[in-house]
Amino acid sequence: MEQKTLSQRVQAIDRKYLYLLLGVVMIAPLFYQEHFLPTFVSQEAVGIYEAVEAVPPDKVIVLAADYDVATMGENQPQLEAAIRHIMKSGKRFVILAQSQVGPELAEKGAETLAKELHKSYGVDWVNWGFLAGGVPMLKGLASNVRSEVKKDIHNKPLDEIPMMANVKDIHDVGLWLDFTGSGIWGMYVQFIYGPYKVPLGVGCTAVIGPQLFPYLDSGQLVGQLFGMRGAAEYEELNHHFGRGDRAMPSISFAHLLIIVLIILGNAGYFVARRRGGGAR
Amino acid sequence: MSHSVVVWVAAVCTLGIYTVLYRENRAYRFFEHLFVGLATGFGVMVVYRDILLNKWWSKMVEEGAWWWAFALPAGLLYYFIYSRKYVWMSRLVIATMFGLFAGTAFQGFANDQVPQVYAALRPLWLRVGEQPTGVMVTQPGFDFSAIVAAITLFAVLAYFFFSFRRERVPGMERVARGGRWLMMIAFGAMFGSTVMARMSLLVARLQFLLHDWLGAIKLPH
Amino acid sequence: MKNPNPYPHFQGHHLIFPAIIKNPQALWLMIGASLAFCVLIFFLLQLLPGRSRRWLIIGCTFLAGCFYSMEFFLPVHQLEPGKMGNFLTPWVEPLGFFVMSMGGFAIGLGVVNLAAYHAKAIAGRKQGWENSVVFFLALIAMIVIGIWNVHVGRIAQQIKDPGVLKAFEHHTKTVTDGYELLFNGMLQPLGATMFSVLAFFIVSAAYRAFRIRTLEAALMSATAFLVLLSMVPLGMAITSSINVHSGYAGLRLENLGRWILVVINMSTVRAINFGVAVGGLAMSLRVWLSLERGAYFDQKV
Repeated sequence: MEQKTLSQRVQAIDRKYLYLLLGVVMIAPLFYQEHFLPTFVSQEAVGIYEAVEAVPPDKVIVLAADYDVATMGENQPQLEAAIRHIMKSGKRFVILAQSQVGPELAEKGAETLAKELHKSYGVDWVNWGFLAGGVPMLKGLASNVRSEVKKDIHNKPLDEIPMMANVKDIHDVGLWLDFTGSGIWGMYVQFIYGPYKVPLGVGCTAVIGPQLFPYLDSGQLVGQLFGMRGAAEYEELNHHFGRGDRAMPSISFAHLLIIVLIILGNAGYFVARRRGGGAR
Repeated sequence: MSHSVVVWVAAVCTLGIYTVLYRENRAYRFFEHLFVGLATGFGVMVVYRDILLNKWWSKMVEEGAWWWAFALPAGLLYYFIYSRKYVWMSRLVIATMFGLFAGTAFQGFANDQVPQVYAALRPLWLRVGEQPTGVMVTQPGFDFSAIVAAITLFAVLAYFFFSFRRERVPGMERVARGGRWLMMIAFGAMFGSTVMARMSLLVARLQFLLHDWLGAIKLPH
Repeated sequence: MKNPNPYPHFQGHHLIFPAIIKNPQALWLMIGASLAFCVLIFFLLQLLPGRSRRWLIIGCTFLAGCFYSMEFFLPVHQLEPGKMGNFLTPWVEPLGFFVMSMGGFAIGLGVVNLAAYHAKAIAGRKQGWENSVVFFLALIAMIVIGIWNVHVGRIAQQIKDPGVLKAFEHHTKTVTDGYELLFNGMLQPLGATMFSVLAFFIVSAAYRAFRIRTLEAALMSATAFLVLLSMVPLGMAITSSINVHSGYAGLRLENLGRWILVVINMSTVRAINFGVAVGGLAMSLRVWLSLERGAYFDQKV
């Protein structure tokens, strides 16, 4: 049997060892509680922070929790950081979603923070629940909220909720923040910012993050929270470090691992190719 | 370590899915099907609660807007897709929905792309003073970033331009090839972002297992 | 009797909109009559010949598309203080509600498809049919407990007496705990974990499949490395010795990575979006005018 060269053996490493290596690389930094890496807050995250600060007290902020359980790892810390900021600023917000799980996940985050910051449902926030129907629904909602939403997620009529007294249509919304891992933010660019010029920000997963830059450049978006990093940046701005911030060292080392593995994999490939051996 | 049944069940479900990393196995298939069933059932429950009950039924029965009863047969037309004889009825409602959404395309395009065209036409020469972006320029000069952005935009547009053969226009082929290289730079950035997204999802699960379940690490809320 | 106006933006609403009915018997009578009317229309439509059916579908598509496009293009005037629009604008709200209701009724399509697939697997005793049983059990459990929990919440909403409310919540604890177990204990972690598994596959792919064979691949990898490091604190630490306020601050990894995203990536995405948007508009026009061809659109009616 032909002896495998070192490069061939290295290239044929069982993937389970790679998985184990990733697990170790990501778990180890979680045990270290000190801030040993610098943080940097991007302009995009500051854009959202400043937009929240600029919302007048008589207007509400819409938090569109358009994410699913699949992307809650990134979107949930973003949403919670935003809710923390909104609650601490004394502003009011509305949760709605075009994803089925979104309202529940967002409500869970809001309830937990409300306990900590002494806020109450109906006075400081309201949850309109899941809204299907896409663009037609959005147009109707913008024209007259009560044409699409008569009751909140707890089946309470909006007219019986104190904070909804002065919320009639899109002109009562001071900022629209969308948290999503899909392309639904495009609908808000077209039908919320476009016709009504309501400031729009997006907390997105890193997968779709690069797609938003043209809209940041054109001013159609006021800001962006770019994946878990965006959550960490917003926590930095809030001066309250949470899961987003604590995740960054693990992600850092995982990225380093990916780079090392790509280099090693290619090194082994080129060495094997030069020797004329089993190139993969 | 957590004493909550919910957290323990969540941990078991998490580890059950991770067994696929060792190899394909029956436990993974069990949890996979459990997830699909729960997700489907949850979708039905949410639609029932937030759309059918809270909105449609409430509007019709509690507010007395009886004409919304017409929405029921219209909605049920979808299900004729399963009937060979009456399948054309489902096309009525599907085509109507297609039409409605297609009608919104004009406004969507105008609101989406017209500002993009304006934003793409940036000055390549910066004059002294405050720029539209808010940046203060103290010395006039070329805006390197704007030049690179303009070159990238036109090169990538050239790459996707198929209305005539590139060979007929001198230099077009080179511009298109340059566009391809610039696109590879953009795709590299997208790949990097995608890696970060996946790692973020993994670290979130690890935080759950180590903090919420085992209590082995401390996390601020 | 004063007719309450369901849509305040309609001028002369009482002429075109039916009255709201509060009397329960009259209400159910009208609902029943509406449904009976629809059944009649259904049977009448079956009498249409094939060609007329096709034209009916085309007509519905065209009229539906006309609404939003004309509402956007037609000149606007003031409808009421603070609201601009044309004669179609007041219809935006009821139409939005209608489409939302249609979205709600369509949920069964996915359920029927999945149920049919898994039912066939069980009936045919295909490999892994036991998992299809698990699917049905999970589906039924979530629907039953979820809807039960909804109604428990609705009843609790109406109880004003705190003592009665507490007793009611105690009585219905099984349902709320069951829902909590299904959602927070199973659905959430399962969904989140399914997608987190991709991280491991990326590592494996990076090592075993990512091969830099061409200049373009090299360009892509180099940028990927730069952006990977620039997005995380580790990359910032590598170039942290460069002063933020110096002329070389642009060489800091986070600034370099950002420049690539904000300039090159932004322009590339914008260029691609131009093409996609124009293509999307053309496609919408084709669908609106029923010019689109394909397996679905060419089906015989």
